[in-house]
Amino acid sequence: MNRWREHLPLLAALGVALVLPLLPFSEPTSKRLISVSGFVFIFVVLALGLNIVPGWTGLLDLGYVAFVAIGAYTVAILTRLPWMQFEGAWFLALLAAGAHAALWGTLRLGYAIFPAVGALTWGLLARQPWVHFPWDHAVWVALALANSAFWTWRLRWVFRTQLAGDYFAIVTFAFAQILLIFIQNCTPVTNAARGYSDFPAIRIGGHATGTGTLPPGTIVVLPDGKGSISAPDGGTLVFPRGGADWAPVPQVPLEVTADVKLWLRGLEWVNLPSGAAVIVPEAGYAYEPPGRAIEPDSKGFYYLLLAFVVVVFLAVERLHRSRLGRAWLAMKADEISAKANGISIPRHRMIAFAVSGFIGGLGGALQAWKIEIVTPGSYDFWVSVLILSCVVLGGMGSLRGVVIGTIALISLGEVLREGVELGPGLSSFFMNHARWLENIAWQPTGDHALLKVPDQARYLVFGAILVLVMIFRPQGLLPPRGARPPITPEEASRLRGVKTALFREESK
Amino acid sequence: MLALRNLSTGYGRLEVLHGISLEVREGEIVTLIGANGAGKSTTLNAICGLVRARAGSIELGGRDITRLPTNAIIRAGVAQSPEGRKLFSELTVLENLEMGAYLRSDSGAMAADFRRVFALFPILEERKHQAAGSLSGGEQQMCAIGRALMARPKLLLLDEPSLGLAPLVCQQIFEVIRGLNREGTTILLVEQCAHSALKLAHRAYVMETGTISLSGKACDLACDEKVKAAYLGE
Repeated sequence: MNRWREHLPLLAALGVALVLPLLPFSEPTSKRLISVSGFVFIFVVLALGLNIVPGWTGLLDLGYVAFVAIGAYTVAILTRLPWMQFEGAWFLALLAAGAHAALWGTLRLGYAIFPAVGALTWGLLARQPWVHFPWDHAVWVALALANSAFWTWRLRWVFRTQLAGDYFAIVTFAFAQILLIFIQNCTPVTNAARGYSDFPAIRIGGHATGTGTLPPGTIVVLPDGKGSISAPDGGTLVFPRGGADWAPVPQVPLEVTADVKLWLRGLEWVNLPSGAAVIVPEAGYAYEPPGRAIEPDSKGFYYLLLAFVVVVFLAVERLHRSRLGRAWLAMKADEISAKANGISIPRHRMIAFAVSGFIGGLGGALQAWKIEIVTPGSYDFWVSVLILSCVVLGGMGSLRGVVIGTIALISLGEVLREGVELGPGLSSFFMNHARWLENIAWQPTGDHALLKVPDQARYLVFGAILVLVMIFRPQGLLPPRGARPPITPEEASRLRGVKTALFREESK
Repeated sequence: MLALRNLSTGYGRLEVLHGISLEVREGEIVTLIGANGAGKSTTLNAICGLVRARAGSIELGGRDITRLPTNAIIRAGVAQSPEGRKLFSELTVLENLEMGAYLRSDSGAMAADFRRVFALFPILEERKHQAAGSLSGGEQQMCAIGRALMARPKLLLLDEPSLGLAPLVCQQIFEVIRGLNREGTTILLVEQCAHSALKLAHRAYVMETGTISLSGKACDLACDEKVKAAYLGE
C-alpha cells in the first residue's frame, strides 16, 4: 500500500507522458483542444523559468513579463529582417530571443535606469522644434545613449548594491513597467501600440517565408486605385504563410491573393494588400518553394511545444540537481552561511536571473508564434501575476508542482473563457438563486446556463483560488521535499499560548 | 599563520571592534573568550570577510586578505563553523557537506574528506540522507563542523561549538577539536564555556567590549584571578 503510494507520482508522470503525445490523434479532439493545450504548454515553460528565481533563490520576481515581451519582440523584429529569411532561421531567432532576455535578466537590477533615462531623453528631444534637421534621429540616439551612460555612471553604486527582499520585487516590477512604456513609445523599434502582426510561420525544411525575386522594371499596382510601386532595381516578394503559388507571366497582371510584402532592395518593406497586381515586363523571375509551415493551431505546433516543455523541464531538473542548483537552495536557506561556504551571492543570483530570463524569452517567443501578434497590451503586469500564481499554486520550488499548478490554472482560465454548459440542476440553481452573477459567472443560453467568466473577471476567480490555497495548503499543491507550511494552525495556537504565558509572567 | 592588526569593524554606525590585534600560529588552538557582545563572533566574521574591516589589517600566511571577498578567503584556506550552526536545514546532511566543499573541484580528494568526516562523526553517515533541520542539536553541530572541514581548511574557525549542547556531547565535540588539531589543523575557537576552552587551547585571548583585555598561555589565564572571577565563576 505504502509502496504503491510512493510510486504514484511516477505512474502519474508516465500516464501524462503517454497521453499527451497521443492527444491530437484521439477521436473527439477538436482543433480547439490542441490550440488550448498549446497555450498551457507555453505557460508551463514560462512558469518553469519563473520558478528558478522565487522558488530556488527565494527572491520575489514581479516583472517576469518583461522577459516574455523581450523574447516576443526579439522574434518579431528578427524574423522580419530580409537576411533572416533562410532555412531554420526561426530556431536562431528563438535562441536569440532567449539570449536577449537572459542579458536583460542579468542587467535589469542596475540598468533599469539605462532605458528609462534614454527613453526620457529621446522623448524630451523629440518634442523640441529646434532639433529637427537631417540625421536628427542619429543625434537623438547619440544624446540619449550619452545621457543614460552618464546617469548609469553617476548611479553606479546601484549595481554594487545587492537588492534583496521587497526591494528586488520593486525593481523587477519597475523594470517590467519601464519596458512596457518603452515598447509603447519607441515606434521605430517596436511599432508602438500596433506592434507586429504579420508573423512568418515556423517552417521546417524551407525558408521562413516564400520568396520570389522580381526582375527589374516590375510594377506593382495597388488595389482600389491607391497607385503603384515600381521596382526599377527589382525586389524580393515575400509571401506570408501559405502564399506559395505565384507564377507571373510577363506583361500579364498577376493578382496577389494573400497579403504579401515587398522588400525593395536595401530600402524598406512594403506591405501589399491582397488584390494588388504585379506586372512583370519580361521573364526572369525566380521562385523558391517554401518548406512545410507549422500552423499555430496544428498538430505540428502542438508537438513542437510539447518538445519544448520536455526539454525545458529536463534542463531545469538537471540544473536543480547540479552544484549550481544546490548553491541556490543554500542561498535561499541561509544567505550568510552560504557566503561563509564560499558561494558568491551576487554571481549566483545573476546566473539565476539569466537562466530564468532565457526560459522566459524562449516562452515569449513561442507565445508570439502561437498568437501571431505582438502588441504591448499582451505584456502587462497581470501576466507576471498569472505566471506567479501558477508557481505559487503548484508549490514554489517544486518542478512537478509548478507543472501541475500551471496546467490547472491555465486550463481553468481557458475553460472559463470558452464557457461550460451546465446540466439542468445547476442551471436552475444559477437561474433562480444566482441572478446577480448573471454575465459575471454565467450566461443564459436557451434553457441552460453557461458557466462563463468574462476576461476582466477571470482574475477574481484566480484570486479566490489562491486565497483558498493559501488558507488550506500554503505550501502549494505539490510542494518540494522537505518544505513545510510556514506555520501550522497547531503551532500557531501553541505559540499564542506561549506568548500569553510570557505576557502573564511579565505583568506579574 | 593568522594575524589581525588593529582591526576595527562594526555594523552601520555601531563600531563593535575597536582595534584588536591577535595572532594564531600554525598548529595552535587559540581560544577567544569573553562575555556576550564582546565582539568574538564579529572577529570571526571579519576574518571571513563577512563583515568588512574599517581599519587595520588581516593577514593569512603572510598574505593580506583584508579586502578579499569571502569566496577568495575560503579558497585561501579558512573555514568557519558559524555560531548557531546555520545549516541549510532543507538540504540533506550529505548536501550540506557538499556545500562545504563548494569551491573545490578535486572530486577524488573530496571522497576521502567525506570518509574522514564520517569517521569523525559516524552518526552523520547514518543520517546522511536526512534533512539537516531534522537532526538533534549535537548532530547539527557535528554537521556544521563537518561542513567546515569539507573545505579542507588550514585554519578552522569555530564559533561556540558547545552552544546549547548537553555536557556529554560538548565533551565529545571538544575531543574531536583536539583530534583535528593533532592532525595539523590550526584552530581559532570562540567559546562561552571558558573552562573547557582554556583546558583545550594552547593560548587564549580575553575580549571585553570590542578590545582585547588579556592574552597569554591558556593555562596561565586559567589561573589568573580576574579571569577566574569573571569567566570561570570561581
